[in-house]
Amino acid sequence: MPGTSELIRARRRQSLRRNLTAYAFLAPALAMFVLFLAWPVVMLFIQSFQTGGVMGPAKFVGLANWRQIFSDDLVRQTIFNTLFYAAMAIPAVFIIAMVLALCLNAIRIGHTPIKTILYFPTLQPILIAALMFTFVLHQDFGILNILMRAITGEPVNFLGNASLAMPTIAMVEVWKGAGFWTMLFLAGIQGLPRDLFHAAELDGAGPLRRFFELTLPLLKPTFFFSVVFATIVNLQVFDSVFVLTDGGPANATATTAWYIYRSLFSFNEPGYGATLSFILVLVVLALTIVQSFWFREK
Amino acid sequence: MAGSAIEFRSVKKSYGTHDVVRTLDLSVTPGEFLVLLGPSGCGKSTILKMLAGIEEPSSGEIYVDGQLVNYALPRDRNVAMVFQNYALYPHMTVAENIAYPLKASGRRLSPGESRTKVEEAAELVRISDQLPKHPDALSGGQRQRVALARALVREPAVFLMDEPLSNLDAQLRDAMRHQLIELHRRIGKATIYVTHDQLEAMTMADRIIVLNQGIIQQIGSPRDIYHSPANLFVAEFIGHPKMKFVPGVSLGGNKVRIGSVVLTATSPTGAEGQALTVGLRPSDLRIEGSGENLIAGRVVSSEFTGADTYLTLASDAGEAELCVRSANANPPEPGAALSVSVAPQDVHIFDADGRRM
Repeated sequence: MPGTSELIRARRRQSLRRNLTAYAFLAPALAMFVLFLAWPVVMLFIQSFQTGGVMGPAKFVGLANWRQIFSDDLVRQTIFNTLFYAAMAIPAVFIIAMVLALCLNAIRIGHTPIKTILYFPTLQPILIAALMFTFVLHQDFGILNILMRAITGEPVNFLGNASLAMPTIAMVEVWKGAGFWTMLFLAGIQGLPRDLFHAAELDGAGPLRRFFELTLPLLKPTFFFSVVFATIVNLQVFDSVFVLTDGGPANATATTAWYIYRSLFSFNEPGYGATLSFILVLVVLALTIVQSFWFREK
Repeated sequence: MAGSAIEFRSVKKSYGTHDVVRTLDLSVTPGEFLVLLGPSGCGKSTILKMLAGIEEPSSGEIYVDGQLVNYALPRDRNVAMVFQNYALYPHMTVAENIAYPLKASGRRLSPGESRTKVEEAAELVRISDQLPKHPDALSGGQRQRVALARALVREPAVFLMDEPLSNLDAQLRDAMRHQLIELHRRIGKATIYVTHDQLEAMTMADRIIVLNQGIIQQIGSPRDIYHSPANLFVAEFIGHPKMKFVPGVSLGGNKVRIGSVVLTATSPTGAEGQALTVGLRPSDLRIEGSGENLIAGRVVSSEFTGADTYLTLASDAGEAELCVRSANANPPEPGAALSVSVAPQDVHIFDADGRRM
């Protein structure tokens, strides 16, 4: 029979072997994380204290970029625009996707082609979707404006009107994203135990009560993921703005990501762009942490 | 049928070309405890779901308390159901779970009345101390009680129970079985109970319906079904260890030959020379019997189960082995010669189609 110290040594060896195996499996993911996420964030932080670096060597400027952010009106405008966009796009796409998911869940036969059609916009690159919408929304020959003219007699300048441009971009993003969120919610709904709903039906709960008192509370884990993911994605809205309005009219659709891009590649201010990017990372991180606490408490 | 709590008239259920329930005619009297018993996939849960309104019958009519309910919503059928996996709302407390039918059905009860009803139902199933907890903090048995309380609080005309004890361990199942019987006595409402466990069926039922492949094989009291199985399926399905079957030939009158043994039965065995199947239960074979219906054999193996030992016997009753129950503390060892006898009323005769004769 082995002695106590021998047993302890054997247990340690086994534990070490188990840990090494776990680390070996984690290593590739960790390497990717460091290379493509952690390291760029560190580089952003370093660049936020520099200017130049694209055409010539970077120059240390201390806190100049950070000070500039607080005095830059366009930064405030882009933050407001981004939040305004997210406040429209996220609830809209969630409500539409949930309604579509509930409808699809209720259909017993023939839902596969409908799912395919609904998911199709999600598969399109946003650049193609945005370009397509420039034709749909065009003031003279866009199909939406042909309809508007038939109804109101007047065309609407969706992308040229400062108060309509951002809602229009939100509409395009909702159109593109609805399929993805529908599939996600549908998977969530179909994963809920059917017996609970049968029990609720027998208990006397109608469809609305079942939705608000069972489906929604039981989908909380799905919603947590959705809200966090949608916030992260929507705070970085760029492509559709870039193609449809390029931040206009009068910076009405200038979003934070669009401003970062412009700072880096058009205004030749990589240090300033890096500072904005770093702040965006911090904001997204903070929001994710707040949301996770909020959902945990709920 | 007048006075039935539940009635099925020519009810069928098919999924495409697959018939799950074939022509069900059945009535349940008020206060009766009816058990639907059968193997998995025999259609017993489907019958319950059709009655609850969760599944729609393909044809036929279903009545609850004399009212046609085919087109009624589940909530309007005046039935409550206890599900196999309890179906408790995980985000609600035990009290909220029990109160949910009162709230959801739109009954205008004051908070005080509602609380009283919840407390009464909880008291009935002995979970009063668990009311503030969530279901995930309860054991399987406690969850089962919450599900029962939720069914009780509605005060329905009919209780439906879909294998409610199958997720519990053996000890808890025994305890819950007794409590369910006691509860049914106190409530006195018609109950349809689905199970594949024959012990539950035998101990709880006023009447048992044995189902196979969507067809009723036999309806009767537990005693009827055990002592006079209607066919080979029921004979094999009911009883543990299973009834042993031996091919035989009718000798006319009440006599049948199996191997070199001639047995006398109480029922006629048909025309002389007719091929039959003879069923003998291990518990009906008496060791060291004498006189009529004597079978000589040799012990092949023995299986100790505690109170009893089951002996497998190679006998002169043909190639098929028999099984004999021995309550003796020192049963014969394998290899020992052993004679058994069987009373004529315990000789079960089935015709070539497997029907009882």
